[in-house]
Amino acid sequence: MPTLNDVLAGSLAQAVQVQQIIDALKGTPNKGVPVALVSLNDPNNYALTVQNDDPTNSKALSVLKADGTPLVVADATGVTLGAPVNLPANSINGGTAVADGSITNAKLGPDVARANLLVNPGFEWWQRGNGPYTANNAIGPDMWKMQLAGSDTYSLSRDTANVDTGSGACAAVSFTLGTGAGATVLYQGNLGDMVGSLNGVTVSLSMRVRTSVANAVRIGINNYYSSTSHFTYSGYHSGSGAYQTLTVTATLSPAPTVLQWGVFFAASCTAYLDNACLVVGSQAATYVPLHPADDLARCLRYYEAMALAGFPFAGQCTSTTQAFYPYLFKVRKAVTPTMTASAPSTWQGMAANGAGVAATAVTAALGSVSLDGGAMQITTASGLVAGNASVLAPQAGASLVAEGNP
Amino acid sequence: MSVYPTSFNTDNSANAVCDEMGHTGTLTMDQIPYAKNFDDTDNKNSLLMDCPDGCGEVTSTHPVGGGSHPATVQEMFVRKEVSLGVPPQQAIDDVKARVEATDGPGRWQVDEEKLLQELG
Repeated sequence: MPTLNDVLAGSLAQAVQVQQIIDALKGTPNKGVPVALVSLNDPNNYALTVQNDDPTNSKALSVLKADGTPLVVADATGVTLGAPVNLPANSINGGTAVADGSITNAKLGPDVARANLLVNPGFEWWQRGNGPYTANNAIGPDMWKMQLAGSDTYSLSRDTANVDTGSGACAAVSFTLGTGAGATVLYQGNLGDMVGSLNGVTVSLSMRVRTSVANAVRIGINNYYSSTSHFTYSGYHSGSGAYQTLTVTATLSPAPTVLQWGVFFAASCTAYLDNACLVVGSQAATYVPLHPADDLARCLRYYEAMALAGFPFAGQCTSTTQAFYPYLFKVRKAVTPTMTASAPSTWQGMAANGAGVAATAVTAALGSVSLDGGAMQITTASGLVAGNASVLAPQAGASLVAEGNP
Repeated sequence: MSVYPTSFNTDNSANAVCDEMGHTGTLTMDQIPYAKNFDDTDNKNSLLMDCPDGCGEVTSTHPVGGGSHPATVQEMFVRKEVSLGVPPQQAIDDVKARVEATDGPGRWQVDEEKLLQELG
């Protein structure tokens, strides 16, 4: 609105002052806002409709507070609200009241962090070594097993040079297609202890994949029931040479007897796999790194190379030539594990005088091992005393590994 | 990183792999003994496998549930019993019962029909 100057009593009105009034009433551009009242109290439309005729703007409404700052502005850029904005209780900014507990999974964006059900989802843990792995059914990165189809071949290694954002390591797979026809898969699954808890549930899997070969790599979910696999696949990586997020969603119904989630290879390629995430719900979620302690604890549930520094286990001699040493795992195993021990020459039992007595034979699991631990037995030529205590003294190269795979 | 069976031959011997050493070879059932209990009796829930090339560097103790390689290890327990004179179906039923007793009903992974055909 232009500034109007008062006309003093007795003064003659000047033409410029009269023109000010005319401009304001006409809505002359730059001398007032050209406003056309379209309707008022129109019973068929709105109580008030105002249209701005200015061809270069669409400034419909500006309501200012006492200090001149905007309270409500409606123009071509949208509706702008000043502060404070008072919305209904239990609502969120955005114009629509949202009641507690009403945001569905389908409304979630992928960057909303959610519980990841995978073991070693970031391919950070390689307790068995960094590879390369080439054998069928070999487990390279913890809990990820390569199952070959037909005459396909592969080589899989830990890689730190081609990782995705926010990752310390990825899995590098050099895959050569034979007669597998796309069925070769690096998978995680056969999780008997998760089957019941996911019966009938919709889950979404995502994984970051990088390859320069189109239609070579995709991910999938296998809901195995009635003695038959039922696969649901993502789309293929485009072959752009950049990391892409592949996603797939499946409902695990009828109730599965075996669950598998994996990466399928359908053409010869080199692929980098990183940062996978399996969540409950129809919307896939972006991978969020687990704390290393949690990440490792999940891996230890299936594979544990026991710490053997110093004198790890205390036991008892049962004869002049034998002693046994009970041990506990750091993490309860998912299934009864296989126990693998290094050669007898890498073990000694401590005699009462503190001298090491070399083992001539070793049993990694005397009797039966359990989900929580077992007992190791060494046999010596002599030097032990029945009933005496003894501690185990691992020598160079000693190893004791618990491995129980689904 | 265990010593484990990958397949079996008609005489029930196991073609085995030692992950740790990268060794392979064949072990007869006589070379895959039951582990011992404290009282020196056989523990029929555990089988011992030495590295198949005889290097003596690695020994694995497999539980009847299968441990590191459930399908082939469970089958190895069946073949062990058969090698000791137990009829195939009885061996399967016995091992399956012990698998499910230790690791639960979903743990059994042997293709029984295929195994029965192979065992005659």
